[in-house]
Amino acid sequence: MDIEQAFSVSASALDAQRSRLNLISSNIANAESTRTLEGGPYRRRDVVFTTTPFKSTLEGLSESKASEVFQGVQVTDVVLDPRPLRKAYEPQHPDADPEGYVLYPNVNPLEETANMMSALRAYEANVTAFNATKSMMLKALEIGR
Amino acid sequence: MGVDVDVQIYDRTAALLGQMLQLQSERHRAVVSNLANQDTPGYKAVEVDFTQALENATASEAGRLPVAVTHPRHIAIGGAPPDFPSGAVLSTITRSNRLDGNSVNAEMEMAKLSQNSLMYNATAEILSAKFRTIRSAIRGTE
Repeated sequence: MDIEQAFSVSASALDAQRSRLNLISSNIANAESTRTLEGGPYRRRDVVFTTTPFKSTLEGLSESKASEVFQGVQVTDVVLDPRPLRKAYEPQHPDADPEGYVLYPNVNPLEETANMMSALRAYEANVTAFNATKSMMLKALEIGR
Repeated sequence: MGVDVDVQIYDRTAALLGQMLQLQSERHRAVVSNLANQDTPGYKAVEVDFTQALENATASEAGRLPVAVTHPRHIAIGGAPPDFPSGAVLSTITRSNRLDGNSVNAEMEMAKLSQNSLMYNATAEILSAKFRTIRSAIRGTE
């Protein structure tokens, strides 16, 4: 009964890491975008993770005090990166300012690649955890057989 | 002519195994939480440790399961019934090497995941085998 909670926790992590990966893809795709719908160049976006308690669906039946401590994760916010935009001298560019400088997004492809690898690793770890939970539950079902 | 044997289907061993499963599942949930939050800033890893409680329970005189004495030649080992490990110790790892304050060591957690799920499966298998033995004893040899 208690161990089902582990499924929700792992699933929440998979969801959060996938959202993070989507945002990284968006950053890489828009690394050179000088125009956006809001006006101005694209600014790098980042996710904010927050731990969230996950109660099992049979809340109240579980007596273990430890149930409150085990928590999943959720994406609570998407924030803009406040670091300064990149300036490049291109007087012929249609978006150049009066001095000839163009503002490019503050996306660093190397940094995005490192984040992507971290997100992938976390995703795989949570898939493994999910499978471990499943195998344990299946094994427990065999006890009386 | 019959032998007077005190047999319980759900005896101390089964109870102890059941409690082991419970503790291992709590440990598993701690590991799963840590893996889910390995990138959350400020999250502190939780740990469930019951090795100390188990050691205390089995090392003490009262911890040993007594061997049944049904024949004058049997030697009794151990004394009073065992005192089961009353609970697991839930601790938090506060020390963090990372800038974001997260204290989860992903590799350690993966190792704990493997080890714990193997132990859980082994315990479940032992419990299964125990019930299978009882069932075959009920059926007898046909």
